[in-house]
Amino acid sequence: MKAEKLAEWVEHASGGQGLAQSDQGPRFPTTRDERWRYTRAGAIVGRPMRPVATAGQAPDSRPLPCLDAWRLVFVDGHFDSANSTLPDAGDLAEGVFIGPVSEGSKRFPEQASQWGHGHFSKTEWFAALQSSSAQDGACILVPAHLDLSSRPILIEHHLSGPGIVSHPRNILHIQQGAKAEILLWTSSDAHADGLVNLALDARVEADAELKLEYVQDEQGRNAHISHLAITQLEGSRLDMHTATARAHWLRNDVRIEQAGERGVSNFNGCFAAAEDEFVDHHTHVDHAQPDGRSAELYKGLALAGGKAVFNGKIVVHPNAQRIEAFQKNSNILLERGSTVYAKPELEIYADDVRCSHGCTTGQFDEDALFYLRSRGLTRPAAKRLLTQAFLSEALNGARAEVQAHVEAVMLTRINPA
Amino acid sequence: MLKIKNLHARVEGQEILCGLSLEMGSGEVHAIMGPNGSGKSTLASILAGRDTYEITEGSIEFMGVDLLALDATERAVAGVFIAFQYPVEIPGVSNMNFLRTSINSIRDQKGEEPMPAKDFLAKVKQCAKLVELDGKLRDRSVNEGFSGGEKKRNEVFQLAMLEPLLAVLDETDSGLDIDALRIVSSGVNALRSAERSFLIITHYQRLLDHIVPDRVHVLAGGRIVRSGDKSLALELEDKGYDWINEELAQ
Amino acid sequence: MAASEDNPILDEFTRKEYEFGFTTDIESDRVAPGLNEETIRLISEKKEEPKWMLDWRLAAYKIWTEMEEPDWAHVDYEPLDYQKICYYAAPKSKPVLDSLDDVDPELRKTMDKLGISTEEQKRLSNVAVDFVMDSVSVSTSFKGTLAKKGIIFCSMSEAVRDHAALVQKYLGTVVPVKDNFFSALNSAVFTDGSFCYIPKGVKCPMELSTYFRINESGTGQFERTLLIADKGSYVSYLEGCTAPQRDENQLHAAVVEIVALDEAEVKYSTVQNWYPGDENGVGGVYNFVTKRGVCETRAKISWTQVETGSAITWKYPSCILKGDHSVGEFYSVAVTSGAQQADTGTKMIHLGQHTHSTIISKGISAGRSQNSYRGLVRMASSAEQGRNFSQCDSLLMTDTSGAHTFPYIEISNPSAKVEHEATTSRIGEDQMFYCLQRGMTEEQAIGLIVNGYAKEVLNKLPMEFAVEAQKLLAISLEGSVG
Repeated sequence: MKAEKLAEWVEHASGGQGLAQSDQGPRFPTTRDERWRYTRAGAIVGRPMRPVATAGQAPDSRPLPCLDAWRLVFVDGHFDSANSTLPDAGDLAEGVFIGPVSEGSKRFPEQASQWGHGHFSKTEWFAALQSSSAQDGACILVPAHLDLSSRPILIEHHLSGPGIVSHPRNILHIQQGAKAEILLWTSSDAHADGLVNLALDARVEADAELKLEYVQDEQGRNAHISHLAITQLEGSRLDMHTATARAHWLRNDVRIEQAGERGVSNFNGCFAAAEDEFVDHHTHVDHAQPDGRSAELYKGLALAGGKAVFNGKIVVHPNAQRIEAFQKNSNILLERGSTVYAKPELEIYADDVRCSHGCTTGQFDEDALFYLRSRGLTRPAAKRLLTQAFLSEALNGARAEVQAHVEAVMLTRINPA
Repeated sequence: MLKIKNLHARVEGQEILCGLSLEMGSGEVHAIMGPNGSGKSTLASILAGRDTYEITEGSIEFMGVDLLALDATERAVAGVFIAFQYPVEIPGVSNMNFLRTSINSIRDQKGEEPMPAKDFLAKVKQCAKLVELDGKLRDRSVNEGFSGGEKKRNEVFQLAMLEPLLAVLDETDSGLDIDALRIVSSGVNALRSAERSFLIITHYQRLLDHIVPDRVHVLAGGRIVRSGDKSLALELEDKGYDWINEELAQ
Repeated sequence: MAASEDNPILDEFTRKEYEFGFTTDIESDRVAPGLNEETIRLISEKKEEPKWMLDWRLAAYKIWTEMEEPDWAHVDYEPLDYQKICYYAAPKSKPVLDSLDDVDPELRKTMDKLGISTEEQKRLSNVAVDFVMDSVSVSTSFKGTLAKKGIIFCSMSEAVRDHAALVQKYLGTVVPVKDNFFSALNSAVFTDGSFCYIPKGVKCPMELSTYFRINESGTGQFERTLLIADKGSYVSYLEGCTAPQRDENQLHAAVVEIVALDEAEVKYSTVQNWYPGDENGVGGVYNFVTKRGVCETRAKISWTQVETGSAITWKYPSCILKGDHSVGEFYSVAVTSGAQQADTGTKMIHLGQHTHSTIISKGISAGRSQNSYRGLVRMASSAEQGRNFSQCDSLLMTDTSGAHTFPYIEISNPSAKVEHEATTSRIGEDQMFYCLQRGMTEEQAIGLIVNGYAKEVLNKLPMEFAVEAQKLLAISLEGSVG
């Protein structure tokens, strides 16, 4: 791509903000960059798109309508208060904030500015673009020792139509010993063809717990790039599930930094790439301090004409002793013409560690299929059951409603023959 | 109900069955015994409909239909059940989900309504009791982490749930201790009826102490070389298989 | 455990002298350092090469000048100045050698010191040896015996002269000139190496072996090996490498090409012990090597390597499984200590149906070294029923070393199956304790455990090499527990 054309695209897509520190900042990624080896970012910047000044239409119904949750709805990067369900400020304990960044940054300017614009904006081009053009998103601040997990918080981001790019920014700050459960949900209109360029920066302080579930269920032909940077302090715990139930072109970049000792990070993901679809999950866990644990499980399916990428990296820093880090990635190619690229990586600079990764790519076990058929299941029914079983391992531990929704969407889409 | 005529089968070019014939009536219990490598498990696999075998000659008729023309699913729907020697583990699929899917799939293919949940649960309870399968095993993934005995009990539990017309027990006694053997065989005995036939494939006579067969066949060199009543099994136990081999050699 | 103060053995180990660090005092014929078209013409002229060879080199040089040095490997070094390297150095007293008896006595001494006395090996193990010093092949033994079977085993220079048709047909077909920066460089300036052809249906009656040695200071070694196994033939090929101790970094950029035609089988074993530099990372060989084989129908190529030397290793012996039912194998033990850096692994490219590959990699990191496995498994959409199994284990001996795993798995066929497993751990304390409790010293225990850990790979080596490799492992790891 020519530099002038790219600059022109940036001018539009950033809403005139341009790209901060474009000289020293990250370069536009190409497949020559190791981290973008299998991902063609050029496909996104080929079409014109721009942020909109006023939000489009929110979908008629809310995701998981039966779930009793605080709800924050954002459309095209703008807060939609009419569709949101928020606590009255007076009902909440001192220091708690559940609301849009636009308001949170006024009421708690220090927290909101301190933890925003994290790691990726300095290393990744799209994150830098996100940072310079950041729009509204959720701001969740939980003060020390407060348990907020009795009622989950559902953050919904919707892209309403064609030609639109949104740059939602979300900030989570879970202070010492506090607990929260957060669901992040993205959707797009069937006519959407732009880009969701989302960022989430989370800080989980000492002994705090964050349960994060991220569902991506987008109907349009828009692209999606998410940068999730999570910093964990000593004794903190993260349980995270990412499910790409439906997406046309998507890249998730997750970085978990265990900046304190005794961190626990469990994170799972599942995804499926059907015809003409591209799904890319990059994960990176940094064990910067001793006695941490991480367990990761990602499962992917690819159908004819679909392309899926998994790149998982575990880094154990010097002196980060007694780390236990496990990673597993399983992929199934369901049909001819599908492709999976997997790159499970270990970078270990300390010796007293137990680290392993396993990666398998193949198809359903013929013996299991046969067993099911000999018990009367038709071949499609047997494949369906095995698909469900395959996904369920990665969804284990997520809310039942989330599991049910993701499974239903994926099974309908896959419809194995 | 089952007529096997002059069955020839090969695996990777090697002839394993060469002219096996066998006839069973409804409600009968037949045992097939034979030394290792005689083709016992091949027969079970062929009945189940595995496609790793090539049938070069012969026929299998089940309830008047050509069994070989049916695929594995259709055979199960028709009422053929195989209790496998090595039941496969299926992580992530719970035993209950598996069975419900199985039963309703068979009913659906027969044009019947799905089994009401209440009936299903009652049936599970009743069948589990039969093989002393406790609740924990029922909720676990299919065969995952089961001991050898638990897997076999689970097979008989499924047999009870699916109510087939023909049950083939492939070396169900292998790897069982004496208690498990008793549990499994009393389960099978309880399931005997005038409509249901059993084909018991085994290396040892001891299972036949518990499940008494109507007929005993000796399989050697890919053929039935001798048939008799239950006393044949005792004779085999007594003399071993060498005796058969020697007779064959003459 | 902390580094040296509470571990005298570790200390001793890091100061361990490089056993093969001696130079041979032979007058040599050198070309002035620097690389341009003239250098290449000069090399070609000195080697009395035909014009096609010179043209091929010049074309390669042109390609190289347009390429960039790769930077994706997990290694860190000062950029090389390619104009400071000497591209041709040959022992001057270079007669036409008919037998080993004609070899310069100094050179004979070198061989003896290396413990690969050709005479002795001839007698003991029936191994045919080609000895390449600096850039030029100096002796090839057993020529007559091999010739009776129709086997050609000679230096590359001889092959260019005497077997031009074969060289022209296959040179650069497996590793194209423009494959990578170093293969292009090698194609332009390679000076010698081994050539081997096994005719149809012939099982080579002995191990074929080449010893490479860099002797001159400031010299690069760019050898080129071409091995052709015709239909239904078999050969086991061994390669050993050493270099003297030098303060500056020496560049070794070799290319090995293997062609295994239908139903041929090639075993290629390497024990690499180039000078690794001193404990501060001064000196040592930069080992940037491209090795690749192509398998036709039902052919098999098996790479086995024991890598203990070099300051930097950048090496991925690979198989292109082009023919149906072809098989590729890669067995590797890579030991790094001191300030060594290794980025090594393999590429298995599955194109044919029912192609199978196995990768077993054992990395051992000690001192302040960095040891990386980098491997690619690709199942093309044509690779029906392709299978791969990879197991990559890393053992950490110190808390200052690093062990890294970078597998690339690219699957485009739904009937293919790929399994990859990797583990990283340190030497088992309970295993160590058990050995110590049974009366072993720490060194014995480490030797025992590490050899057990690497056994799967060592077992793949031919007998003569296995012994040498075990000895090397023991030397490399003496007292290196962290």
